[in-house]
Amino acid sequence: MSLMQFQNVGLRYGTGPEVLHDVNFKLERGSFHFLTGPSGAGKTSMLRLMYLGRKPTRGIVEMMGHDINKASREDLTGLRRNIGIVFQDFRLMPHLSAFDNVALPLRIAGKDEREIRNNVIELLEWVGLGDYIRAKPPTLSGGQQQRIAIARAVINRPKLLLADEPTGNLDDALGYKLLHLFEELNKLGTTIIIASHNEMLMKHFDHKHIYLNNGTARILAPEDIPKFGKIRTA
Amino acid sequence: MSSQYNQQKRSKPFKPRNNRRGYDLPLHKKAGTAFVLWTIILMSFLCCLTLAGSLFLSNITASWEDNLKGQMTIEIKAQMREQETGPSFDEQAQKALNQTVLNLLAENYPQVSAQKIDDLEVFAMIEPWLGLGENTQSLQDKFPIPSLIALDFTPDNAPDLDTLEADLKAISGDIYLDTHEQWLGDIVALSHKIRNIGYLLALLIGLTAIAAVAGASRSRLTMHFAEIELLHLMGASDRYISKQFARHATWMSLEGCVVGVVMALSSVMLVQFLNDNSANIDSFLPHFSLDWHQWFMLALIPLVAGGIAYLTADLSSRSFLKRLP
Repeated sequence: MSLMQFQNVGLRYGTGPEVLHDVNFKLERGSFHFLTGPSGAGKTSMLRLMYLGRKPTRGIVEMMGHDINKASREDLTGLRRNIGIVFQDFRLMPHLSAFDNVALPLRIAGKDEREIRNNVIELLEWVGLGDYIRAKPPTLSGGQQQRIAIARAVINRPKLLLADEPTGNLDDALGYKLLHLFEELNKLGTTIIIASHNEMLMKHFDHKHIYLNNGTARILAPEDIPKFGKIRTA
Repeated sequence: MSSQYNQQKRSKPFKPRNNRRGYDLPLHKKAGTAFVLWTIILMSFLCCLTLAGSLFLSNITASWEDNLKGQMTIEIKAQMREQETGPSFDEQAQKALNQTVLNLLAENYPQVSAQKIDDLEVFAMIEPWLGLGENTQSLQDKFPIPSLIALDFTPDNAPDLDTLEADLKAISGDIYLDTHEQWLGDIVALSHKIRNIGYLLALLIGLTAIAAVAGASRSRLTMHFAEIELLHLMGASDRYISKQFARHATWMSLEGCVVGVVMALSSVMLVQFLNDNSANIDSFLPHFSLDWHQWFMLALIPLVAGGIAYLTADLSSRSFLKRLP
């Protein structure tokens, strides 16, 4: 059963040219994909469509069985609660503590405070930040902020996890560790999409790629990823 | 750093919410709030004073109307006779006419208490304007003033005005019935106009305050767009986000309004105290007082303002949030 399906999708901002056009692919539940492509290929726009930050200007985006162009505002709100996002710049709330940042998705979902407290503390301890519950993001290092961002994305056990350059601020060792963490989440049933430029890191993982180039997308096996700008064809 | 947080962890129990009113958005920060807060304090102060003034005026008008409700005056034109030296006051004819009117009232209108106002009293009333000070007879010759008969009755048992007027005209065409309606009507109309202008001013001040709250909400929505979008992407409903703005605006309005209204009510009390304790002021001005329910109404201004602020902030934030997909 598919989790996400794009059919002839196009996206433009205002009256500008289409940044994505004729995008067609389907992702199964529980799959793991890297979102790759050269700079300016439309990765950020593609992620925006995936986390329902925008609606397509043409075509159909189907998410968890809902056509997002036809879905009501309430339906979209419900769908977003099933999507965890790790932003490239983390987008943590600087005035909130690590605890409150991670607790946000649960509070939005209306969970009980006692349950929130237990789950958040457990997760923060699991990502190695048990001693920084009260710490505010500006007082933490980039790596610690990233772990808070990841904890916030997974606290709600989302069906879909989107991560934009999650290894960007990490050295290779930590990057591997993080990707293994995502693999563990994937084994628990979460569909994972990771936007990355780090070819060295990605080649160690045997996952398919959503390869974006010139505003359109193709699903490729790792060995078909273009070398020097060319796409290997069967 | 780790040991520092461990120490904190041991020393006090962990409280999840570390911001004052549990906002996810940084609305509790004072920056940008102080100006709006002072605007609300000033607006509520002016609004409360204007309303108090209008209520006071309303009370005075009602008091005038009540006082004059059971009173009328019969005016009997001064009777003159022609002499060689010119017209002079005819005291005999005047007295006879006065007595006829008093007899009529005693016989036909027993519910009315009639009292002729002494001529000296009448002269005393007009003395400040005319600068008199001579004997009555010579004054009457110079200034033929009418005789006045004051009528008192209970408003529930008032005489029929048309019948009374007809009876008086049957005695003489020189007799007039003054119900005070004409001059009182003008004063009451004027005071109602001033009172209504006061209410209108209070309304305008209130609307300005609402505009200030709405403007502040919109600027905060723009200022915190990134955080709002983040909450939206995490699945926060419009209600979840707008509630935070509405709650913030409500508390801010309550804080500002309570200060403004306390200041205004203190001023009103001070004026009332000075009015009560100053003989000079008392002789010129009517007694300044508000009923308990009017004090209560003024004290309710912060609650009303809080409710309006909630709705204003809620509506403006919801319309803003509709821009997000």
